Amino acid sequence: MLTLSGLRAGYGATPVLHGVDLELATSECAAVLGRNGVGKTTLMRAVTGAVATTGGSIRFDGTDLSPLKAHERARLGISLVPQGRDIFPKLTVLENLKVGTAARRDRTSDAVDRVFEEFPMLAQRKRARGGSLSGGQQQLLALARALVTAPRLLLLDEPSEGIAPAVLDEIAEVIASINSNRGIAVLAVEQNLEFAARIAQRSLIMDKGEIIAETSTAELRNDRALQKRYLAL
Amino acid sequence: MSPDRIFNLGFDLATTISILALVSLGLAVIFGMRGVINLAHGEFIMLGAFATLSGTRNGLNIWLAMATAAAVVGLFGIVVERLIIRRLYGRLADTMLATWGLSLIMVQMVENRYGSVTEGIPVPVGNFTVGEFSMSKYSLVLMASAVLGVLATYTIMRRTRYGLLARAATQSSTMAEGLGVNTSVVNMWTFGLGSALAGAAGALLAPVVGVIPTMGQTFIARAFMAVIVGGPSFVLGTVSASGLLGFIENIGTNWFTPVIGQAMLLMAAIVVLRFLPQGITGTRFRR
Amino acid sequence: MRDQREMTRDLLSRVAAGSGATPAAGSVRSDLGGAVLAFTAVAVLGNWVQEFTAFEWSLWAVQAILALSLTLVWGYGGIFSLGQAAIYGIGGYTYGFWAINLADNTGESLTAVLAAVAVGAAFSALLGYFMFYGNITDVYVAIVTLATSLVLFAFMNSTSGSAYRIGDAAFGGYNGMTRIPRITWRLPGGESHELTRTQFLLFCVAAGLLIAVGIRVLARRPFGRIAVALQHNELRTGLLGYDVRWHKLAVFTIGGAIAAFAGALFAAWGRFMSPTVFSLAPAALVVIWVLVGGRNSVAGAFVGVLVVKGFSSWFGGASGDNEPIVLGVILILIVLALPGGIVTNIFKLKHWALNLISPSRDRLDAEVELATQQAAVYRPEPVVSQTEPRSDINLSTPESAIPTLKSAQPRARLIATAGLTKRFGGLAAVDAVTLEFPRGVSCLIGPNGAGKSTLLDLLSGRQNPTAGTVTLDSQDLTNRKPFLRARSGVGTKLQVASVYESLTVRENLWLACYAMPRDTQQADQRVEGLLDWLDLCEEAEQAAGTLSHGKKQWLEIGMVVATDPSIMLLDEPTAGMTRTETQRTAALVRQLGENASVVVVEHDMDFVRQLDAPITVLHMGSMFTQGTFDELANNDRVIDIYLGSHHGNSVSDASSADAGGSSDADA
Repeated sequence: MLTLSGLRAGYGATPVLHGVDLELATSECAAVLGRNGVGKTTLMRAVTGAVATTGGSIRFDGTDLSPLKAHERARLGISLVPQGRDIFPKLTVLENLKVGTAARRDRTSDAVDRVFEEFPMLAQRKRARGGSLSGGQQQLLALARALVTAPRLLLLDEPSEGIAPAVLDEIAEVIASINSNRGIAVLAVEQNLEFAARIAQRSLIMDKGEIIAETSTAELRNDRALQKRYLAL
Repeated sequence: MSPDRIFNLGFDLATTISILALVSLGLAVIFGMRGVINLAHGEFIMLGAFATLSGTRNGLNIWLAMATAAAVVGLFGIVVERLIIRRLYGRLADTMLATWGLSLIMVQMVENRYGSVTEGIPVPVGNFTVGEFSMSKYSLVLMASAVLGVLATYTIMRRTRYGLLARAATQSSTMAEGLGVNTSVVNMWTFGLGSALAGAAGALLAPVVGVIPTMGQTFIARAFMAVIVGGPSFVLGTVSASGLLGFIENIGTNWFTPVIGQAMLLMAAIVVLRFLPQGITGTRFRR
Repeated sequence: MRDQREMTRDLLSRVAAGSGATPAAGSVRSDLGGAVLAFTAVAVLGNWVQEFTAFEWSLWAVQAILALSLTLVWGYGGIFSLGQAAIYGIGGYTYGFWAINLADNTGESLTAVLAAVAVGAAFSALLGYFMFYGNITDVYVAIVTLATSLVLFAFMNSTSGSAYRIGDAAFGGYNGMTRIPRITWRLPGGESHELTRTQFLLFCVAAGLLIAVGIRVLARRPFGRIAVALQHNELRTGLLGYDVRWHKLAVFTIGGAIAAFAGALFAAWGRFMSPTVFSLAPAALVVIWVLVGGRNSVAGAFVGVLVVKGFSSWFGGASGDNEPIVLGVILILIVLALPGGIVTNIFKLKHWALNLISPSRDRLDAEVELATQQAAVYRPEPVVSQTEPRSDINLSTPESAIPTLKSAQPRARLIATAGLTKRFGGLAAVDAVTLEFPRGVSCLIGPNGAGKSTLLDLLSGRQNPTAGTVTLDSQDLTNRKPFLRARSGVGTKLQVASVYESLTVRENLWLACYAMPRDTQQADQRVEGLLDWLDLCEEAEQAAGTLSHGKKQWLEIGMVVATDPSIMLLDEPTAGMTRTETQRTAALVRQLGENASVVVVEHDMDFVRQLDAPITVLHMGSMFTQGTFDELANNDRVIDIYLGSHHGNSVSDASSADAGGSSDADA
């Protein structure tokens, strides 16, 4: 469903992605792991259109994404939950969700109701301002908000960052169920191997702007040597 | 001081604050949403006044003429946004300059069409007296309009789909785009709304100030200062700034002259900005 | 999709267009030569034309001088001031007061001109102090200067009564001040001479040209170069140890003096001053002149005034009725289409014309080619197979030793923190950290959110702590401003390369070399040494913005080294570098560690390993553990915190480690 070939991108004169090759099948959930600075966030932003690419291509269900602007790609069904969640801090939980539906023009409140059923915690805090939620709650809100746009591909940029370890379990479960129950493809970029193992079967390892290895997450989890070389010190 | 004198002073103060709020609201919406400073705002107000004048001359009921004028100016604003402002977001100095150029053009074109001296519009309502003081009922209209304007803007921002998207886009335009919001179109509507509010202010002020092509100039400085001092929260900011600056202007006017009143307003603005560079509702306090 | 060539071309043209001035090439001699030439031309023409035309022309000359004041303040100083016309007005009124009262007695009015300049300068200094020492940002400078003008407008308008006067000179309110004397001069003991219109024209033109030359000269001197630098990158300028506020104040004051001078001439020209000079229109008109002509050069001031005047007369019709429309259209077009102004775009046109003439190669292409080639050298090599551990390639250390300053003060030995804490709302980004960084290299590592960059910011002064202290030997640095810390010997290299993109590599280094000794000769010599050491000799005359990423980082490191700091803070120095560059940087940093205390924040573990230095691991804002690379690489706990499977067992416990969503950052 998502194919990146030889993707290059960067900021001004600073190249960050040096030819990324990646394939994600429909309804698959995969993780991209790597240390800081290898280009994971840039990869996400290149797919959503926030960063201009300088080479290679991105195809989504066969469509070449390069001429499309960010909001057009979103309407195709690509939804990103960025690092730090990017919740609208002054909008309430309900309003945050409504932005997701409002943009899609289907004025039905169905999607929002459905999401409140799945996330009772959010339903309880309907009128709380986004900025007052804890990290974990914001993450759930961000996921719910992405769901409300009925995406076909969900991109997650470091979903475990800044979240209490106790809440991580719940979030991992939610992501896994989004993938298995709704059939939405998920591509998550992560540094936290444990978390990645809970949600993704397949792991791609990134270093210095390229995907350099691919393996099953279970295998990676057991391979200390591999971990040390690419993920830790 | 006699009670009716106090009432008179209070009434006067309320009128000043209302006028300031009316002329600032449109500018605040645009500035608060996108950080754009529209130096042609005074001319949009002027346009609203002239549109009302033209409407009444063509036989329209005055209130209808005012409503139409606001709509017309709003439409004009949308055109301006698409042609000019759209390319200048993020470039504050350039926006100021381009809109200043626009204001020059507008003043001259209106002058070419209507001449520099025009007949006014008669005030549609009369006076009333309290004790030995006679006050205009129209001031009540202005006060009501100011309150209405603020409430209407608040409602639009809080309860409409547009308002939701506009607020979201202000807080994080990247995220809004990522959710499929076409922020470019949202900006267009915002500018249109701000322009319509300016037009409405001009329409409402038409009966009480001289409707001349350069009338906008007298408002822009005050509106400008009120917006900057108010800060990014356009409802709360406009209200608090109008209150504070209006109060100071009023004192200056009553003790000295209207011109001194304006000067005192500006000086107060400078001092406030020195310590609160982001305005009253801004987030940082600098020592 | 844009390829590298296009991007480089983009960057080059942006650099060429520039948003502000760059230190002028050329010399005093060529400048004076040009000025003399221009003056002679005007003198010849001036004698030919009628008195009335000379009278008209002198107004343009006066306006050009006013425009020059904004060119200096905005083009060279980066201060967007809408108050130049107001200071012009102050100068004019001051001349009026002085001349009306004293010209008869002294028989000359030149002292009145001097008085105007003095008052204008004093006013600017006061306003400037209020603004720049209050940490008001750029936009607000525009607003405050505009508001000041309008306040003056309001006050002057209300001074109609006869009570408003100084001596014989009445303010006149909105009617203005009348009967202002013309410029008169006399030699001591001699007769008074009033300047004729032609003489006045020549006087104004001469003055204008001298001021223009003066600005160019100033731009080449250290003062001017620093002013230009701070316009391009205020942050870096402060980090080099320059007092940015003072420089802005100085530039603004000089600009005010020039504007007031023009004002005095204006008063003498029309023999009349009115409050409209303080209103919105003239304030913006000055900006239009400079914008149209181009704020990068002094020529722009003259060109701007003439072009705007010319267009207005030509299109505006005989009665000048439609002049505002013309001005408005010009303004909008310039902002949308020609953001650099006419003069800069003339240079671009010249470039294109040369390309057409040049026989074999497209000149611009040649430059792009070169830049591309250089960039190509630094493209990362294809990745080798991942099974073999990478061999340790030992690059030799740079040939020359680091050119050092003969420091006057003894080198500090140690930068330390005690209980240093920084909270944002409920979250402690740095939590009671107590560390010492002695001479040599020290590394700071840790996973995301560990607080490394915040800690570095607290050391450099970019952020102030909520609690705890930062000390440099016995000095307390805790709340000291960055530029003062720089002067105490703290050099900072930021995460995002912070150099002067639009200035040449040489100029970048020069500004860094000049910062401490404030001696031009020493600076010049040191620049050569540094270029050699950094191996940037070939790129010396290139704009720093065209350097490849890795070289830019080195340039910045070079600039930090240039100030000969005893403490160096390097925030992710190898971000975005290739493997070869990283190795070279490691060698560089090790060399630096011989003479200073170097604190390096890094993510690149290869680099950290090559540094061979003591490492401190941060986790969730606190110090987690310390050790050498080998110790830590095999430390399970450390690996775990990176992989996320390690919860708790750090200084703060798990529940309080929930990084709450609300922070103090602006919503």
